[in-house]
Amino acid sequence: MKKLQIKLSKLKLDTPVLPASGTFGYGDELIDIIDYQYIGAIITKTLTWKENAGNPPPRIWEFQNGLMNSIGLQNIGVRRFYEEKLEILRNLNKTLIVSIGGKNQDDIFKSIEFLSNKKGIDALELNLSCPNIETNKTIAENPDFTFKMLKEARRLTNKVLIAKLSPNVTDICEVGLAAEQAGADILSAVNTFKGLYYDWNREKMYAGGVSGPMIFPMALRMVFELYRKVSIPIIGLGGINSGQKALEMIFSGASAVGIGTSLVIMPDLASRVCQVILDYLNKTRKNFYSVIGSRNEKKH
Amino acid sequence: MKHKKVRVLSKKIFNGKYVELFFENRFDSIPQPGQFVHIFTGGAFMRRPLSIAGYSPEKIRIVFQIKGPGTKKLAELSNGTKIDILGPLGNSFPGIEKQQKIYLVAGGIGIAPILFVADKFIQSGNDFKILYGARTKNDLLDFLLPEGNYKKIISTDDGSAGEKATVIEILTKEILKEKPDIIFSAGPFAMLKSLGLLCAKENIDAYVSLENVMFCGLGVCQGCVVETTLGYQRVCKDGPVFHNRLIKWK
Repeated sequence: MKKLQIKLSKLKLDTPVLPASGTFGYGDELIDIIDYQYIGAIITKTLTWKENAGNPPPRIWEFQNGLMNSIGLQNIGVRRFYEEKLEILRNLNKTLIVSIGGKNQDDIFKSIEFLSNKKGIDALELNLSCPNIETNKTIAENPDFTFKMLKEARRLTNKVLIAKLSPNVTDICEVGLAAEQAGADILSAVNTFKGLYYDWNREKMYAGGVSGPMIFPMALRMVFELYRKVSIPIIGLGGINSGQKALEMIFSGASAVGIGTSLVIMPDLASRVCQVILDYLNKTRKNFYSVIGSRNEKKH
Repeated sequence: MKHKKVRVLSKKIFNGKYVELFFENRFDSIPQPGQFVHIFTGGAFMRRPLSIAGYSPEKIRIVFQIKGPGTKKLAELSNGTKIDILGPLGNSFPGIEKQQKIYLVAGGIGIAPILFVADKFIQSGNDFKILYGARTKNDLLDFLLPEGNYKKIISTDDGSAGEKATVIEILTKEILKEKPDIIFSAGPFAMLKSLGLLCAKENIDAYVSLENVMFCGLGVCQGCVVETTLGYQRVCKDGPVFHNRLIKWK
């Protein structure tokens, strides 16, 4: 797997295949399920400043080719994470990305400040799907809010900053550019798509975020468009369930790929994706970096 | 590693909708009654969590009802096919003392984990009583129960086999005759709720095996939570077996 070791901004990744936040627990729970040598880094579920109970059940709805969730960021909070989990994660000797989110900006800033001087954390991923307190609009859905948020985050930390973008926008490039200009080091695209599910037994409509193979074409398009506009690297994710789809994401402009929903269903997916990428590099005698965006004509 | 590909060894289908399936035992640990396997069926997007219904060093038994495209696909698999499983997962029914009076209460396909409990008690020489209710005689799988010297009370909703009563009605009567020290139960949520409330009132320790829609099965996604006195608990990891007083029955 040595050939797959890459640098993503300042991060050293063992492979370009990353778990997606929210499908990997706090990062240490899947040791007897997934072979960690095939994942590029550990990424935690989104942490909030205070412990958060999450949404009332039901929380998961299944589609033919994907699912919808409404977990509501259930987590133990940033402080307990630091006290109970960080040491364990450090000992796994992997690059560690901590995802941060919350119900308001101030809590996110508190979390960033708290984690900024903690050793063993290599990057912070900002889950921007939280509301702006003044307007109650989602930060990730507005370029100005995104700019302000990232600007302040940049001021608060020297750690690598990843902005996780929402696909629920008219033009993802506007938001991506705003994040880049404010000082984000890496973009992660995309989060889940807003969806609805009608339950005929309960006769009730449920709202949540849709993931899985059904969102892949839209996610691919968004990474493709972002790559033409921004200069910072992109982690491409959304519906990848095979090595081929991971390669397509890289051809579009992703410097690394995220696998979430399908990794949970197929724990050996990371190893299979790595193998397909490796086979492709060997067959074409290319190096990894030359493949990034190779089927996308970059125009600045 | 808990992720395995195992061969289907044999399979029987009863009344067109219940399946007893054996697959090769490649588990790293000995499964305990109450634990489950999370199976990729190929018929649905997510895996399907199914109770382990029996164990030997060579093979694992599961017993399930064909409910949707996932279980339908699983029922169609022929011997020798490899299936992708995670397991054994979840917690298990607690160990009990030999002198404790125990009732096993099963409703419908909830018989699956109870079969495994019964096997284990026969091996260990624990005395027990089984109360098992189903809709009709065509929904009864009592012939899968192990042979042994224990009391068995069968009931059906329509009276087509055993007593015409729900298993909760039978349990209420049995408690009046002889109060058990402990109850292990599995079945539909409404039945478990009635059982939970009854046992709370009668001050009987009951352990119930809950079902839920499950995504990861491993405790990481937090999708299958149930409301408890300790907050939201994951059916897949904190359960599926819970003490009845822990659950906030709604």
